[in-house]
Amino acid sequence: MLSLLLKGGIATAGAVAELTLDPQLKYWVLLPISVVMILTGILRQYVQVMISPGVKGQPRVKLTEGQYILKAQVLVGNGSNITDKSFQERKEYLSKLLASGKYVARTKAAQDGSTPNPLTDPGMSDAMMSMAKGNMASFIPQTVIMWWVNHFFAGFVLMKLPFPLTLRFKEMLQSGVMTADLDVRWVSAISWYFISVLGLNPVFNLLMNESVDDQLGVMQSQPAQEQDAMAQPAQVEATMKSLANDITIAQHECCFDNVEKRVLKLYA
Amino acid sequence: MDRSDQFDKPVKSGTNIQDNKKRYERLMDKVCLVAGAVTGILQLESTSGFVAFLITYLLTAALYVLWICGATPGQYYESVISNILFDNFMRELMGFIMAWTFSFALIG
Repeated sequence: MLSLLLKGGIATAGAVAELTLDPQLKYWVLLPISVVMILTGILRQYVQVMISPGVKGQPRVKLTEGQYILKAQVLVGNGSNITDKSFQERKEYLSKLLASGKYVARTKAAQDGSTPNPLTDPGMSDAMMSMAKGNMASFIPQTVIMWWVNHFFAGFVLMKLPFPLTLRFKEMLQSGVMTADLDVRWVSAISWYFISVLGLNPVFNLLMNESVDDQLGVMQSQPAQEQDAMAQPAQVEATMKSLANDITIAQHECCFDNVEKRVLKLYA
Repeated sequence: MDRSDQFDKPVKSGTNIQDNKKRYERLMDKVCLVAGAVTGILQLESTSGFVAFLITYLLTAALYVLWICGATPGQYYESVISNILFDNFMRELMGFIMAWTFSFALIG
């Protein structure tokens, strides 16, 4: 097969060299590399889904703490949707509650007064482990495919690019082709690998829409949870105090003020 | 009346905007890959190929805004210019170049 592949010949010599490539190159080099890259991308996606950590449970005190912080943030953000009276009631209640620090989750280690070492904290090391696994899942296939292309498909011109490139690309894209004055548009297999790496994102998007969406959703929701889990009671208490301050000074405008005028203006 | 200015602005849902972005991206992916393959089959080279990409990209964006968004894209996106024109540009260009190179080599 290799002898078949190496049968590219120079048809005309001169300033603009026009090469005649063996058509078998397409079927034995171009298509296999493309198929392998697409399949590897799909496999990588599934492996990443499989090694992603599942949803972890949290103690109830932690959830309560998070919910009250969220409640205060929501009140500041969307307070204009309730009437003045309800806002004042909630404001009074929440600012008092948060300032008192009633719902700060206190673990045993924190009560002793010692700060836990982040390196020995199981939640932290789990997060680092999953990150490392994710990175491995993305760069190991890249390295393997690059090695595969470099090892089996080196030393011949594979294709002609439809656009000209500057001479600086020559060394990278024509690696293994020992010609000093060949046009940079004639490139070897490794450049098809590079083009595929850069251009396959849209293809993966079209092939695996749902799974990618799910993964994005997981990735978006995870950091918040982990942050919550890692936060120290002292930090949480400070956050609650500052939220209580925010609520105390929050200006309230009710959306029902002058609502008649606005509606009339809308249909005037 | 000044106080009520903030209530006159329409509220946009973040989830739906995300969904709209994804929808546009998917459409652009399809269009640009097909356009790249067509450009390669037509054996267009260098400048004319990139011009073909620009025409495809801008025409698709214009048609999307006029037809699918009903000429009011501001309803569906946070910042129209950046979301429609610039966010996906490099990604689509790379996809186009890949499809173009592939079909160019396969046909040529």
